[in-house]
Amino acid sequence: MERAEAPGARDEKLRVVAHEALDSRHWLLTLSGGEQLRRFHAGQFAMLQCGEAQLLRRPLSLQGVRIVDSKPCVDILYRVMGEGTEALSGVEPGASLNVLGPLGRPFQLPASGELAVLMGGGVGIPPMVALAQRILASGGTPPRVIGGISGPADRACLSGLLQLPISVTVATMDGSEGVHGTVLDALDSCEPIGEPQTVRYYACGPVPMLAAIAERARDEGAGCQLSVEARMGCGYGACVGCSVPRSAGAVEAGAERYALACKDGPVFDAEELDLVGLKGVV
Amino acid sequence: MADLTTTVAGLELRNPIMLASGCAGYGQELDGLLSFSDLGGLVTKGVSRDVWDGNPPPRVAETPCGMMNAIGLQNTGLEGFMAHKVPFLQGMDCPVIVNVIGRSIEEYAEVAGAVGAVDGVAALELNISCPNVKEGGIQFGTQPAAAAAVTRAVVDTSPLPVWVKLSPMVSDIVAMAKAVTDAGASALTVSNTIPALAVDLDRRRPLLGNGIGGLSGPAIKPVVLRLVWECARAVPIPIIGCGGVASGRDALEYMVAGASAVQMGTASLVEPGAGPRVAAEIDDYLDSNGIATVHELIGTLG
Repeated sequence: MERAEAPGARDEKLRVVAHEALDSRHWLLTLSGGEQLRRFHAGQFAMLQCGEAQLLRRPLSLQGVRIVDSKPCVDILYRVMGEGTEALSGVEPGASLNVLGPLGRPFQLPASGELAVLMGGGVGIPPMVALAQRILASGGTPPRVIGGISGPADRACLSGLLQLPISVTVATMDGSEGVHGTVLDALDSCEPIGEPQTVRYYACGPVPMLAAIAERARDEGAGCQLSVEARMGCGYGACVGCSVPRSAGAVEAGAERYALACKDGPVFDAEELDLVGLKGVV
Repeated sequence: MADLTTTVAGLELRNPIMLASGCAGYGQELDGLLSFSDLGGLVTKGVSRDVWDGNPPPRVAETPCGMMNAIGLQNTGLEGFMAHKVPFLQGMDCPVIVNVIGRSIEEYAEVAGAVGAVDGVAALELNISCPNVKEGGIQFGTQPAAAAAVTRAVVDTSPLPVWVKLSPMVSDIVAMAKAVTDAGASALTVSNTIPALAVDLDRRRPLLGNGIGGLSGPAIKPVVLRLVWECARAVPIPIIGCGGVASGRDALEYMVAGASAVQMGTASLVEPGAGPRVAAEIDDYLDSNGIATVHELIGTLG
């Protein structure tokens, strides 16, 4: 199991190597190295200091590692959502940020012979980029990868996805590009997955999207791992702030009513979660 | 290198910095993020007799110079604590204080009795002041007679020193301090968070799932300093200052106001190494000012 091998978190001061505005509200932040951070597993995240006025750090997903000036650097693609990410967007290259990570339980890689279907929506796309790269690096069956966006306003979210060395499918809700519709519409428009191949679904994005994918997986009896987001205090399980409701089945099996997105997640098996309850929160 | 040792009701701490309840889990959450031997102590998250689910999310919000939380004391209950939390706590190289919560005097006493029998626990801290649950805290924390009754029941049950964590939301904190002191408390933790409200204007809803929450962080430091100062002058038992400590200077302000030690919460959540950093800053301050021991600063506010 890969999960057990994920590296321990460290709180480090990391230099901003590059900070690129992809459009008016999406940014690509590139951080220098990090002894532990650069060893992150797909689905993990980091807590980033965003500015002097923001007391709490913000949890951001990790998209990938690449070499800049012969040094490994970590890419983080984020959207300006509020005061914290607004302040973060003002950080200049050359500055240093306190970064705690990598944190959380990563995606579990598909078993040998399993076909992974990766679906990311909006700013849920970057973790799927990391997962696709990890599956490819491990020599597994190349995954099917679908990125869903609302339209041109979110197109920046695709930037990492479109650089993958495999073909990817794009879905847009407004029909401006690729398949007109949801990520599942795009999946249905692809060549059917031949029997008897076993499928495992992976997804990160808005809760309604996650719920639809979980339903599809349940109907097909396929495995399904979902990455969720939550407001966080600490990111490492101490404050118990980032609770997400567990499914009735999980609670009946003896689990606590609420799981922690930071420590039990952010990646969960779909059947662990109460996605209806989660929709009321996020 | 100054002498940073301090004593709270017979318990010697290597430095005055403890991590506050609810901000350090049960220790294991911080494993690898700091060295426990750099702390004066760690207060666990609250332990109740039964499993408590906690409040609906969202549970945390940021406010100017502070944060609000309404966790609702989610915890695995006494059985889960004994099975899954105690083994790590027993291996930590710093004094462990277990925070105890309950819905009734009997529940407090039951948890205190069981935890008091665990090897390696240095003291108990009674939470009678959580603002985020209807039962299990605040109803004991605002009435001197009720606070005294729960304190006495726990003191009678457990051989360990009993610290009582007070609420800031009382009209007369001295009356509370005296009541629990007379009931046998060994020390007071002053204070818990301040009940507060954060509003999502656009949705016209409270930001937190519970509605109200507890305010913590630098925003509350002046409020709690006043409470510590008043308590320290009113009762003979040690006071532990808790509210917005983020630097060595903050900690020492509490100590000159009368605190024998301090607890850090919010700053440690954000920066897991904040406790050891603040202890080192205290050392630097003492050295720079030619002060040999931190102990000599306690209660020196003129």
